[in-house]
Amino acid sequence: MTHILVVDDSATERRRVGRLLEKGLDSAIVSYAENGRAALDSLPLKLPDLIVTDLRMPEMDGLGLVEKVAEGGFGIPVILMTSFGNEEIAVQALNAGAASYVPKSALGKHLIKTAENVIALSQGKKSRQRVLQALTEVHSRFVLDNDITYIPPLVSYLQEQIALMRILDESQLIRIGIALCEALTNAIHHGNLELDSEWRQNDEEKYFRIAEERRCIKPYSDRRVRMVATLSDREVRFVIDDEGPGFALVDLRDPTEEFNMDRMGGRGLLLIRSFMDEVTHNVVGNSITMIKNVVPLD
Amino acid sequence: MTSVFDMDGALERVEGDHELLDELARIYLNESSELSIAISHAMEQNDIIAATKVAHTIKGASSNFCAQAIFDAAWNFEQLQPSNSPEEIALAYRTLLHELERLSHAIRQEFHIRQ
Repeated sequence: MTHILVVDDSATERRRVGRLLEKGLDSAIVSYAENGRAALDSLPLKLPDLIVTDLRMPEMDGLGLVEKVAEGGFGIPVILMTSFGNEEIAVQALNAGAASYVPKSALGKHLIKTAENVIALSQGKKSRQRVLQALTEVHSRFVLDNDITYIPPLVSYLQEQIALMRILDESQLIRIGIALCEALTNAIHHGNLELDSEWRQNDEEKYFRIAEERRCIKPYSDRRVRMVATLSDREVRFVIDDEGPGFALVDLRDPTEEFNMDRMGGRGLLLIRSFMDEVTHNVVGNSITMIKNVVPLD
Repeated sequence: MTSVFDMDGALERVEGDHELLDELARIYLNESSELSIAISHAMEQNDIIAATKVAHTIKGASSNFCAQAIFDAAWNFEQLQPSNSPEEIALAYRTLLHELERLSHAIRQEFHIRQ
C-alpha cells in the first residue's frame, strides 16, 4: 500500500488528482487536505509515503508545507503541482526540499510517472536505512595529515554513519561531534605540531601562523594522525593516535578550576570528558580512546 | 459540447473517465457555491487580497472543465490590487460571478444535475 496525501484548496482539483493517483498507481490510498496547515496537522496521525501539493493555498501554502516537512525531518517526498505564474515560488519550494513538480495542465500525462519515480527513490532510501539499522558494527580507519580543515567533513561523515545506524539521538550526535573535533584538533595541534596552548591564550593569530609553518617543515610534516572509529550497537569508540612526543597528563591545567575556565588550554579535554562516557590516554600521551555507550533508541 | 465549457477537453483531462468527470461535476457545483459565498464575503469586507485568493481557487476548480470564459474572468480578477479603482474591481467581480453562474448552469444541464 502506498499512502499519498493530496493537498489543494479546491475540492474538485483534490478529487481529480486523487483519482488519477488511485487509477495510475498500484494499491494507492489517497487522503486529502485543503491547505498546508491541515496537511501538516494530519502527519502525526498517519505519515504518507508521498505528498502531492498545490502551491497557492490559504492558511499555509505549498512552499510553507515543503519547509515544514523538511524541518520536521519527516522524510516524506513532496511533488508540487505548478500552474502559470507560480514559477518563482515553485523554484523556492524545490530549493527548500521538494522532490519534483508537475504542471497542473499536464497532470494526466506526467503525474503518475513522476510519482512512481519519486516513490521508488524514496523507498530505496528507506530500504537502505532499514539495512543500515540491521548493521551492528562498522570499523573505519583514517590517516590524516595535519590539516585541520579535514576535521569538519570527517566528523560529519561519522555523524551521518551514526545517524543512519540510529544508535544515538540528535543531541548525542552533536556532543560526539564536538568531542571528535576537539580530540582531532588536539592530536594535530598539540600532538603532531607540538603547539603550546598557552601561545593561543596569549596570541591566537601567532598560534595559527606557527601551526601553518610547522605543517610544512620536518619533523612535523612527516607526522600523521590515525583514527580508528568503531560504531556498534553497544558503543561508539574512537581511538586517535598522533606521532608527536606525547604529553604528561599531570602537566595539563585542570580546566574545571575557576582560574582556568576561561583559558583555551585543557578546554578540549574538559568537553571530551563531559561528552564521552570513558576517556583514556596511553602512557606516552599521544593516544586517546573515547567511548560513548549506546542506549538503544525506541 | 457547450459554448461555456469544453466537454472533450474536460474528458481529456480525466483521461476519458466519464464516471470521474460526473463526480467532479457534482463536487464542482458544491464548491462553486461555497466559493461564490466566500468571494462575496471578502468583497463585503473590502478585502481585495482575500477575494483574489478565492478567484485563484475558482480558476483552479473551473479549469477541470476547460471553461475559457471563467478562467479568463478569474485570472483578470486575480490580477487586481487594492489600488485598482472601485469601478474596475466591481466590473471584474460582476464578470466573475456571471461566469461562475453560467458555468454552474451549463454543468447542471450537461450532467443532468438538479439544482
